[in-house]
Amino acid sequence: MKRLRVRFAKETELKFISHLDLLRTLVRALRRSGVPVAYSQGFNRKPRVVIAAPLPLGATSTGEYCDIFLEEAVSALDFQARVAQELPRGLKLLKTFAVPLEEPPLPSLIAAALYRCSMPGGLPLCWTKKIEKLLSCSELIVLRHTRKRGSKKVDLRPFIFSLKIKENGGNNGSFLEMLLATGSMGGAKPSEILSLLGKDNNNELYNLHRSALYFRREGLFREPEELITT
Amino acid sequence: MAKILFTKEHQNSRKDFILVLKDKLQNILPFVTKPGRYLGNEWNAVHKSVSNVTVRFLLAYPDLYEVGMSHLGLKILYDVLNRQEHIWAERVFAPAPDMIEMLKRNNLPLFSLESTTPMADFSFVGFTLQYELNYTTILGMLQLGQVPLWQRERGEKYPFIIAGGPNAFNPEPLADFFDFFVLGDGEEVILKIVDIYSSWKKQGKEKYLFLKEVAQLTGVYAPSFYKPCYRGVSFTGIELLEPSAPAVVGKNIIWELDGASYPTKPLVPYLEVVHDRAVLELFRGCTRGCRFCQAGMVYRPVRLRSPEKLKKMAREIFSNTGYEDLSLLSLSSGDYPDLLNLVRELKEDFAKERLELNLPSLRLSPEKIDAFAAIQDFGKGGLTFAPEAGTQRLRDVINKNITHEDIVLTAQKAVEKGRKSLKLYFMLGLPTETDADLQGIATLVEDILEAVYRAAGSRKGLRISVSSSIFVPKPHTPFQWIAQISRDEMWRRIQLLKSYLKKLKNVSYSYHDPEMSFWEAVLARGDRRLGQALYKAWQKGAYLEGWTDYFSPSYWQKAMAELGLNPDNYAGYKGAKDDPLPWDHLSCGVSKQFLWREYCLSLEGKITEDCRDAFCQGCGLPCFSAPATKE
Repeated sequence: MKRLRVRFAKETELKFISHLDLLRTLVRALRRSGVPVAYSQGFNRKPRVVIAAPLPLGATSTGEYCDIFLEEAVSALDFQARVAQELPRGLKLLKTFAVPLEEPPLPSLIAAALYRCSMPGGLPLCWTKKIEKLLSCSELIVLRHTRKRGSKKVDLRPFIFSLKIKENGGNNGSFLEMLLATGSMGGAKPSEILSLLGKDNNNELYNLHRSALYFRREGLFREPEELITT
Repeated sequence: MAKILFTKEHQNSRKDFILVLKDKLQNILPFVTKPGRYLGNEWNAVHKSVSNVTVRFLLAYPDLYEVGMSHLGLKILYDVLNRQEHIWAERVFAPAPDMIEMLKRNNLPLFSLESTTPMADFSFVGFTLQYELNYTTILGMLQLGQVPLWQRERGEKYPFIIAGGPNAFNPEPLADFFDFFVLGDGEEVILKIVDIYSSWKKQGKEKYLFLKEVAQLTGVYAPSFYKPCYRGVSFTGIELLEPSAPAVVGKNIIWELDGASYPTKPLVPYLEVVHDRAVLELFRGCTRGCRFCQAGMVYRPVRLRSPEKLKKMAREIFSNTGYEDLSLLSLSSGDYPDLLNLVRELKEDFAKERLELNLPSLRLSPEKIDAFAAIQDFGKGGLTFAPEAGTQRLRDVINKNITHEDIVLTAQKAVEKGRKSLKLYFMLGLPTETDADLQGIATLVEDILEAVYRAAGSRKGLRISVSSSIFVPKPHTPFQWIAQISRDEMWRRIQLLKSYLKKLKNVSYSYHDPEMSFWEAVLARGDRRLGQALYKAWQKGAYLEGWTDYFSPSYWQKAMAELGLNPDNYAGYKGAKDDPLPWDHLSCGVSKQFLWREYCLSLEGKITEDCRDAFCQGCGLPCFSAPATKE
């Protein structure tokens, strides 16, 4: 068995398909390509394809990862060539590399995500002040609705690593850059931060882009491909 | 005025409009549920350059994306049309209410998924008629498409609004909204229609002349050429207004399925749709002769695909889609000759790819369970049976030829092979049904329970779910002369069955909304006067009525009352042999004499054997095996 990790982009209209739809789409593309995807054991055998972290519906990304377990070795180059042509427009393989089989599951390694958010009419000017205020709080309690038990209180403050307003230089003007905790240890959703900033997510348009996902190694955030060991 | 769509300036301004539409759509999609429904760029979606095509065809399905994308007919037509270089076929489905809200708020028309072109800009808009309660959705879609609803009010510049599918065999309630209907298999005649259109368009003549010409094709029914006549509430017959149109419209039949085109590059949706899998159509038609079944009559005769062709198709579909499951589809897949061998070979061919085979409509029997369990994982999920009726007497009436003992033994074997839950489907209100037949359902369920307990060795984890729906008498079946039971009676029988089943442990009971079955019957047997009712019900808010969340009988009740029409005259219609029926001028090839004979036999409780096992029953259609006719 072999394990390959791909970094991929999810762009254009495909930002409108959900996490589960994406997984199904990837699996079908792999099946068309004929690469020997490994299947789990047991009664309900599933293809061993694991996406690092769900991307919010409506967001684009150039920093998605996915682990694929293969029954036989396929070189990264060969894999890339065979799979790329089976992907719908909007999905792009950016990098493919081998990782050790024994490494823990991909989702458990993800610690943080980098987002940028812009708005068609530019960001509200008051955000600079609001961000300062948010970051000075020792806790930021929000209500999170869970499927089973109504809602629960969550403190978002420890999940916010940084919030910065940056200039684009282009015609889009400024954007908000957010480095947020994500993954199995808990995290903040970009929409929650935007709500805290007073945005009405149900009616106001915004563009959200995820540019990177990070592992945490020795206190530092590192992109998965920086940690290739084999 | 006539050809305004085809002037250069007009085309350019439409092009700009479409770009604006595309842009606005991007701003709408973040705010609707399941935006994946409206993307139009699924794997295998066909995109062509507008300047290279001369005919634009919009395939419209009057239900949500998830339902429409599961429909084989749509995939077949999408494929057949798009194989032609000069035709571009696109899709549109009924937008969900939240999307409608957004379209209205932004003043946008309903558009095709692939190219975001407004419905009104197409040459043809073709609807599929699968279910009566979708009719109001058709009106909703036309209006959102900014196309005038009534056929006589649509000017020369609007598309031809056409339809096909099983309900085209009685489309009278829709007749005033459509230019024409296409009866029977659509995949060949559709290209002939487009051919006539292309030469008609070049000549720049009026729409009427196109209709006249196209009505010469087999299976094309242009309702404006036929005028229904009434005396009081009764329908008395059809007057032919256009002498060149046929007095009786026949249907299209593809005789050689192996030679017919098949979608081996079907669309692969992103969203999970109702049937999210590859589909292999084994054969068309069914000769079992269940007397309530419209599909069993209108899709005759039986035509098979060869195993070689099917295996080749399966390979192509797999490599073009990557699907995990393959469904072997037909009205009664267990009747495919040597199905077992086909399944075994497909299993072998796709062992490496782990393709799961799916066999719906199998008509399970104890022998089949043994045979299939031997060649594939029999699964742990639910298994569905459709005994339809609770007693042998009533099953004989409807010609559902399975025995009590077989049903019980089949269920027992299914549990022995590892199944944990069984679903049993019945119809209530079948002709001649009495309370003893409802008691019979309970007895059958009880016998099954006992047998499966014995088979499983314990009662733990076993479940039987019984579901029922009310029988809807359909046109072109032997029961077209039968009255549906009244709504009060529907509820009484449901309550009675409920009380019988309550006594049984591990059995749950659910029923299909009887109001829906009632209005389904009204529309199925409707005449052209119901067009006004349809219009009024739609105006009051009827839309997506196949969904219990959206269905409201009050729209219909009020609409009919305002027009002075009594719905019970339709659902409760009980016919005499020589009564003219509103669909008599539309023929599926099965003769009225045959249907009447079957109707009489049913009342005597006599069965009619499958003509493939016995002799030709003389249904009126020629078919592959007609060795001897019944004396």
